[in-house]
This record gives sequence, C-alpha cells and structure tokens, in this order.
Amino acid sequence: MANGWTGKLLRLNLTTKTATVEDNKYNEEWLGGMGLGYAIMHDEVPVGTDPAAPEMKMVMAAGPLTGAGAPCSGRTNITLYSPVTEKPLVVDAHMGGHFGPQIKYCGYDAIIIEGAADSLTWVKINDDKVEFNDASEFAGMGTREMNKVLGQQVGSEYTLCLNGIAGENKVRMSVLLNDVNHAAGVGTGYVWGCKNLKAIAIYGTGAVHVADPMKALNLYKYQLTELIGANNNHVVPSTQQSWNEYVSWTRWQGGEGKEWEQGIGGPVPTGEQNPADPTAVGKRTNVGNYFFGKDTDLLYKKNVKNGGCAHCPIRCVNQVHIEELGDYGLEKDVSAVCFATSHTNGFYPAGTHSFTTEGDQSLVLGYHIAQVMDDYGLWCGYGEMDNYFSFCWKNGIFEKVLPAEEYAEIPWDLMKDGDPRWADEMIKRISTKQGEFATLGEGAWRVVTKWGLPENFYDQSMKFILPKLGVGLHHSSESMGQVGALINILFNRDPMCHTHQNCIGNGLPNEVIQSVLDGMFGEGAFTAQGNYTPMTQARAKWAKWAIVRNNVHDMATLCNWVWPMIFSPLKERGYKGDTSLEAQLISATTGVEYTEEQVDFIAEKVLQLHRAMTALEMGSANLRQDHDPLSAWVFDRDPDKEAFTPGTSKLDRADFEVALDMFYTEFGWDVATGIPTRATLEKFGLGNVADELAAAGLLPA
Amino acid sequence: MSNKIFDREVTRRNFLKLTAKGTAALAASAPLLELFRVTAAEAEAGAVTVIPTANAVLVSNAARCTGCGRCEINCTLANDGKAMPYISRVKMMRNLYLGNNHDGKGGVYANFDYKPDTCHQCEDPACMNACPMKAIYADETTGVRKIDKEKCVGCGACVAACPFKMPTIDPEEKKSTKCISCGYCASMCPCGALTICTWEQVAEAMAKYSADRL
Repeated sequence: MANGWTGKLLRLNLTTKTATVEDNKYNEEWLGGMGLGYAIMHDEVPVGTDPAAPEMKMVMAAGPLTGAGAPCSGRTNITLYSPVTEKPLVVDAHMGGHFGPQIKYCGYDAIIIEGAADSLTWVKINDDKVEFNDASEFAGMGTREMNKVLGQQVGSEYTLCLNGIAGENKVRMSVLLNDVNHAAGVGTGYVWGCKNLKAIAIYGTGAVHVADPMKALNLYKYQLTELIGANNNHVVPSTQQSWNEYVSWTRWQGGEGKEWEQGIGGPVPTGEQNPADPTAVGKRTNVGNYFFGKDTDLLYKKNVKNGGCAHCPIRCVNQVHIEELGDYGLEKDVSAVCFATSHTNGFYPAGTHSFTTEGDQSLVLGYHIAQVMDDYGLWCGYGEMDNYFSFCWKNGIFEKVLPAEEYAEIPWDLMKDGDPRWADEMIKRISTKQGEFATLGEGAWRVVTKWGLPENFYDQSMKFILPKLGVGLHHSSESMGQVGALINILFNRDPMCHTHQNCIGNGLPNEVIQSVLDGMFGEGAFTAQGNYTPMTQARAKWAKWAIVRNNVHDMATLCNWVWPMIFSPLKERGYKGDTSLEAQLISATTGVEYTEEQVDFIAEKVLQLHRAMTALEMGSANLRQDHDPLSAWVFDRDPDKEAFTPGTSKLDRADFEVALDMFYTEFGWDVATGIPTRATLEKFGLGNVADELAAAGLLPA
Repeated sequence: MSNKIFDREVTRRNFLKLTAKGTAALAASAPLLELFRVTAAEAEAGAVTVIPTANAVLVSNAARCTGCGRCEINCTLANDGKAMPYISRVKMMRNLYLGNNHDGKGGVYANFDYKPDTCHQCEDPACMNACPMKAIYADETTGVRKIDKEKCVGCGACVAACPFKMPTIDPEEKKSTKCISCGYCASMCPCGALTICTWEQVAEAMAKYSADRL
C-alpha cells in the first residue's frame, strides 16, 4: 500500500471522452505537483505545441502531502504551455481550495487533460467513476451561479473546478477556479476553453495513507505551536498581547478588540493568540485589514469570518459582507485575498470616491472587482491588465484603437464616477470578447503589439519585469534587491515565489532577520529594504534557495505564501524556525526518508528542466540575452538617487551583471548564456534533456 | 473544581434542564459561554450547537468554523491512521459549499454560514438499536457509544438509521466508523469552532453560574 502518493494518474481525453488510469512512474524521482507536471509535459507535449490545439495537455497535480493533512497543503499545481506569451512557454499555475486533496481522495496523484471535445462538456469524477456530460446548460454561465446550480446537481460534497465565461470564450487572460475564489491564472481557462471543458466536479471517498500518522500529527502540532505565524509567516502580531516582545503592522492582525463584526450571531472576538494555543491560530491573519484597515480596522467591520484552503490553519481569505454594494444591486457577500482586492486604482484610473466611510473605496471596490473577476474567470496577471488598461486610458490609446462607435458606447462615465458597476462592464466586455476593447484580455504582449504601445512600455511600466517576453513582476527588485530581481528572471510568467517576500515585513527587527539569513547562507545574504548593498555570493545562494524551496512547496504541495518556516514567533527559539520541516513531513507521510538536501535536490532538478525547456521553446542559445534582461526601470527609478543609497530600491546595472554571474554559477549554468551545461543536466539525471539541447544547437559549448 | 462531590448524572440533568428550550439559554451564563468559547450573541442567534453526550459536551460553532477541514483530518489520522475525510466522525466538508442545509443559501457559495456536524452520542442511539450484530455498545466507564470492530460486518444499518447521517462505512476496512469523543477534532481546530468539555468542567461552570446569581 502506497503512503503519501496514490501511485495512479487519471488521464481524461476530451476527444474520445474516455478516462484511463495509469501507474504513476514519476513519483519518487519527481516527488509530485510541479515535478510531475514538468516531467509529463516534457515527455508528452512537443515543443511549440499551440495551447489551443487538442494536442496541448494540462497536468493538474497534487503531491505527497496534498490531502494528507499537513498544514497549508491544499494546493493544486497546474502545468501547461502559456497562451499569454508570444510563443508557448512552459508555466505553472496554482490554486488553493480543496481540488488537490480531492484528486488524491479519488485515488490519483494527478489528472492529465488532453484532446478537445466537440461540444461544451463537464466531467464528474467520483473515485474510479468518471462521467463526461453535456454542459450546454452552463454555456455562458458565470462561476458564482454555476457553483450553486452544478453544486446542487452533483451534491454538496463535490468540489467544483470551473471555467468562467472568459475561458469559455477563449480569452487568454483567464483562470480556472475552485471554492469560489481560489484561482489558477496564466490562461488555464483558455486551454480548457479550447478543449470545450467547462467544469470538473470531483469527490473522493478514498484515503491518503500516512506511513506514521502519530508522527505526522505531532509534527503538525509542533508547527502550529512553535513555528507558524500568520499569512506570509508574519511572526509578530500587530497588537500587544500578553506574550509578544515585538509589535508591528503585519498580516498577524488579530488580538484583543479585533472582531469579525459581521459574524454569524454578531461580532466574533479574535482575542489573544498565544502561539502555544493551536485553537487560536486561525484568527491571527487578516490580509484585508493589513491592506485596508490601518487606523480604522475597516475590514474587521465587514468581516463575517476568514476562510482558506483545505487543511490550512492560516485563514487568509476574507469572507466579507459589504452592505454598500447592495445600493448598486450587486452581490454583498464576497470573498477574496491579497492582490485580488487591489485592482481599484488600475481599473479606476480617473479616481474614486468614498462610499460610507472616509477612505473605504479601495476596500469596497477592491472586493467587488475581485468577485466579478472570479465570476467571469478573468486573470489580471498580478496587475498586468490593470497596468496596461490604465496606461491606455491615460495616454489616449482607446480613442485611437477603438472604432468610434464602440468608443462612444462604452460607459466611461461609470469609471470616472467610481461606480462599482464599471468593473462589471469592463470585465464583461473583455470576457465576452465584445469589440476591440476585448484585446485587453489577450495579455500584454498582444496588447502592446496590436495597439502599437510605445517600444519602451515595458521598460517604463513598473508592473513589468521581462521586456523580452512581456511578463509581469511578482516581488522583484523591490523585495530584497538582487534576490527578488533574480527570482523574477526565471519564469515565463510573474513568478509564484514568496519565499523571500515572506521575510520582509514579518515584524521582526532587521538585525534578527539578518542574523537568521546570514546564518543560513553566509555574511551578506541579507540586504535591508530600501538600503541595498552590492551583490554577494551569499545572496546568490539565498536567492537560489528561495526559488528551490518554492519548488519544493509546489511539488509537495504546500503553500509558499506561508512556508517555509524560516522564522518563528517564539523568543525562546531566537525567532528561528525550522527549514527541515518539509522533509520531515514528507518522510513521515510517505515512509521514504528524505533529508532537507535531498528534497531540495529534486526541486532544483525541476528548475533545471524548466530552464532547458524554456531554451528549447524559445529556440534560444542565450537566455541571458533573450530571456533574462530586466526592464530599465529597475535601474533607472528614483533618478535623483544612486543605487545602494538609503531610500531607494534602485539596482545598479553592472552589479546586476555580477549577480547574474553568481546566480548562474550557483545553478551550474553557462555564465555567458544562462543555459544549463551538460554536466549540470547529467548531475540531475537529465542527460536526455542535454541531448535535446544539443540536437537543437542550444547546449552551451 | 469546587469541593462539592461531582455527580456527572446530576450535572447532566441540570444542564439538560438549562438548555431544554435551546442554546439561547446559555447566553445568560457567562461561565458556560467562556467554557464553550462562544459569545452570548452567537448562542442567541443559533450559531452554536451544543450536544450533551455521556462523557462530555460537544460544542460546534458556525460563527467560528472557517472551513479548513483539519477536524476531519485529525479525526481519521488519530483513529484510523490515515487521512480520509469521507469516514471522519465529524463532518464539515458536506456543509462548506452549500451550507448546513445543502440548499445553497449558506456556505461559501452564499453567506458563509457553515459548520461541522458532530455525533450526538444519543441517549437512545438509533445506530446502536439498528445494528444487527450488536457491534455498537456503551462503554462501561464513560458511557460513550463505541464500535466493536470484531463484531461489525460493515452492513451499513447504522448509517441508514442515524437521523444525523454521522456514521460511515470505511470502504477499505468494511467497518463502521463512529465518534468516540476522543477530542482530536477539537484539539487543533484553528479557530476554536469545535470544543469538547468534560462534565467536570461543565459542573464547575454551572456552579460558578449559580454562585454568581446569588
């Protein structure tokens, strides 16, 4: 009997409407999740395959910890070729919720989706029973309505992964989502749309077997009482409690006087949250109040409760009741987290107004926009769409590119008035491909190209980081300087890595953070926010570890928005966490003993494959030149300041070339081209990939 | 604990008398509210389910359930040695999406009203009465209804009989699973939505309540 893994893969062929079960030959070599996804995509989908083609596949993968109950293990890793970039490049998308665990409970480690149905289809999976059903009744239906209609049809136990209206209409900037607001972006909805797949309803009655269940339970308790903080592993509360040495404005918002004021039956006190009490962990986090509640606790006033993913004690999703939205005939009960609530300025570039409380517009509009985006299944690319939309509006692009009749019929006044219904209008037009305006749904590369945005758009726009690809940033040079910037060169989408970001703003003093990070990677690994220092080899090691450990999480699957446990809330631990916990949990769950280094090795192997696949897909013999250059703003921002002086996140061009040399060296990549050498690939058992690079003339000499 | 001699049955009868007309009566008792970790408003609004069992009082609070499902995981890891929410003796997932009545008016698809269902440890248990193998019995010490795995044949009579749909047949073991009030579900419920209190604790809180009213 397998522990951790199920040992099986489910293959859904939409063309033939058949489901087949196969042995999972990848597990111990690739661990799961992201590793499984990359291995399968590499083995089965030729370079250059059009994401719209029936030959395109998608791997929706769980890992050994998914469903096993490890804290923050509810994530699903989705691997595909991006329809958003010019060429189809391999990417991952990720969603929380309960879908991943249900894959496991049905008896599979992953679902491979291939082919294309001749009409709109939804799939019901209940253990080994798989049905392909006609979805014509759901055509054009948003995810909110579909949750209720399909949910009642299949039964309350089923988790629904849905394609919204955007994906159904083959809008590239689209998501798949489950549990209302847990979305996986980068065109996953587009791929399903091209396959005529509208939904998967999944419910498993099986088990994830655990090699040492009591050890696993003890490790969970250890993590909950000694290591974990709040979302982003912020380990310092925002309020003085009876036990904490430090107080700082962090995502750990709960405490005396902070209540979920719209709670069922009245305000729910969040109260004291001593780390020793595992039954108060879930009331620590309040992401919305962290963003919108400084001095006002505005989010707490709207809070019903806070939800989140399967088996995660960190409840990062604000579930709120916003009465103000009722005045516009809009949904009042909405749920969202983090960036999804941050669209206000981008969608309303002409400005906004308060609703009932001074300064409440970012909250009211933010949660509404998030809800409508989820309902239509539209993806913003971590603010990329917001950015190019507002750029076009501010620079008169729409007057030039939209037909006059279309321009005249768009109710721009709703936007100028800060009316919540503008979001509905804008999102609907994009998601239903209404007119030229809907080009906005095709992603930055196509918007810039088709509408002739200035050549220096990516170099000037501080939402974009890789101008060669038209790819957006995610915690880049503004997060630990060269560390964030290096992490942002690696992927073919905004990178889904939070390891480094979790160490910023966790509430601990810089000297504590420095002591821990320099202790792990060597002197000079740490650099203080807004007061950067020149590159060091220790910092290259830290940047590498940050992304490798992120891959561990995407393989296991664990949430990198909480993990790794670098820090702890406990003074008696010196605030030092335990980075061996992932390996301990995987060992206790699977019964296969892994060290921290062994798990990291597998995770690095996935990154080596990713890098090689990217070179092959781009046809590039020099990724340093063709992929990795950063937008100019990274080096040109704050023109009155020099790099490495206080008060700026500016980087220095020459220093960053050094950083690239060091980073490539850490990975065993050819320094001149940034491509893995044969020796490196063979070290990871990827000699066949080296052969592929050689055959394509891309392997470094 | 007060120096009165503790009598579980007397405590239980007094508690049942107090809550005879519903959990709203708890709102008047600050010590009990504190023990059960609920507010008066939550008790009055009916967000709280209080189940007096033979050896403990189970409290399930919809206002504090945030849908993580750790209760189901802890239950099955501790009792069955595997993670298997389907056989969990506490059942939250079935209420998460469409609400406690599964009608789409609650749950995360609507107004966020959802909570874990727990075994009622009934005084006159339908599961026990229906079992053709006499595999369900009351533990002599605690009174908790348990399953004799040797006798259970997994026929599902208990599943069909339970008005609260709580027992489940483990499809791997072909045995019924049923709550034994072990407390693992509540022990790491991250928002304190589940609480299990012993009758001794309840007696102490009720004594304090009575003293406060004098």
